[in-house]
Amino acid sequence: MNKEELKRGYNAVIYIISCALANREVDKELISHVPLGVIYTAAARHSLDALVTTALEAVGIVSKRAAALKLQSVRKSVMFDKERARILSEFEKRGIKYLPLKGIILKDLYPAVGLRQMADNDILFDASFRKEVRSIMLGDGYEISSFGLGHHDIYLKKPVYNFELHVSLFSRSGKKLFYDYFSNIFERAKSDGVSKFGYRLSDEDFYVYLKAHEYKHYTDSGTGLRSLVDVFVYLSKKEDELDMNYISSECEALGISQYEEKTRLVSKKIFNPDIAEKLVRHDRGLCELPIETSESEFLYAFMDSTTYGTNEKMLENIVNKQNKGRDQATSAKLVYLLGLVFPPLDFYEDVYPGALKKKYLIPFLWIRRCFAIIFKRPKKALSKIKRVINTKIEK
Amino acid sequence: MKLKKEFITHMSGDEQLMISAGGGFCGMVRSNKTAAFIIDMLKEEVKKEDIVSAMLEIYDADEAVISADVDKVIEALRGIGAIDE
Repeated sequence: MNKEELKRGYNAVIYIISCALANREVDKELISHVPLGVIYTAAARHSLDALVTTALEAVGIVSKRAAALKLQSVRKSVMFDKERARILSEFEKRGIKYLPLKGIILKDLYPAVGLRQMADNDILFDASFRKEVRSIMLGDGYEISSFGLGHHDIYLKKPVYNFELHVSLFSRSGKKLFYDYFSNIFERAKSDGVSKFGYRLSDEDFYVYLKAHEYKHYTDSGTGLRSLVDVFVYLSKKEDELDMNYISSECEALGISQYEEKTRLVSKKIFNPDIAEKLVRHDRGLCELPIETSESEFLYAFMDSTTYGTNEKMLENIVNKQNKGRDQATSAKLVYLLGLVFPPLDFYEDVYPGALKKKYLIPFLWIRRCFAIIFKRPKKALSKIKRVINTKIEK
Repeated sequence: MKLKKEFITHMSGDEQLMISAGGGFCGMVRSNKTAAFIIDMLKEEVKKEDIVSAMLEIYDADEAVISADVDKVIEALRGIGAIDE
């Protein structure tokens, strides 16, 4: 599947989603120039296949495989809900404050269960209970995928359960400004009104966090079309009640106001069914491009990434940050690979709190990391190095 | 009889969704309010007669009709292995 074909697929996906969200029927003839396989593939790359499948089924386009995947998504959503309620009731019993994040909140704004696909359950909890939370999860049959290695711990249990339990919303070593801004988030959060230790952000703070989180991905490995759908769905339900002046000043403080504005405007445009229809008609040579060229380029950056970003996008972003004249692709790859062994200093503070006070120990941590890479996870490391080396960067 | 504990339900608007979280049945049951009422009663150990009496208090229908409806739902649940006898 070449890039042009895939781009037509993405435009068809945008049109189909715009119809699904506006409760409008998809015009089958309009998208008939794009093979269905391309549409489903494009949607799946951005975790939008359940939504697309639903809209297509409504006009009689049925695929057994797509229906099975959608069923899987609905089942997963139901299972996540029950499991999360069970885990959080344990937090309640032990007096652990918690704040559900991202998909857990957004999924309820989508038209039906399972249509906002989720890979995991993101929950912030009181960091002073980190070890107690680990014992709750282990006692419940979860396996640790990662613990103490940053700002979240990951717990997995078959068949589908995946909990990403955060001790802070951002890591120090990622975007320090974001880390500082969100570091006392429990103080700003309110009680969820239905439990003793459950919290929720105001609609404005939730939106600011959503945009900051999205921006972090956008500038790292990229983020996909689903981020734009999330923004559209959230604003469709909440915008009339949101204090946009507050949002604007907070985004300004975080250095993401341009990004926020652009994503807000672009998502509102492209998920307007009339404009989305014209995107498809433009692909068929039937009308002018209904959005500005700069908006189209911005949109393409989202299409080009998948839901959780790509190696290509990550290296491209490193090249852009370096902005050097020599062989940029090679230097970006080198910077990335060296960063695996010699991460930024803040990384050590994330993993070993207090490490920055004993900087003389850091060389020992480099040696430890080298040993861990060579002896503990050689296959994983080798495959990552190979993937990075083989990544092609568009200049 | 009782609904097996691995079968979990979720309300989505007026519709109840039921799946098995423990493997085996890998589909999904969509139920209207009446069937959902029966399934909810089956979450505790219960006899068919108890379900019928509870429904007679709520629904304006003949006992025979209600009894047949309950049988139909229970049979469907048995068919997917959702009932502990």
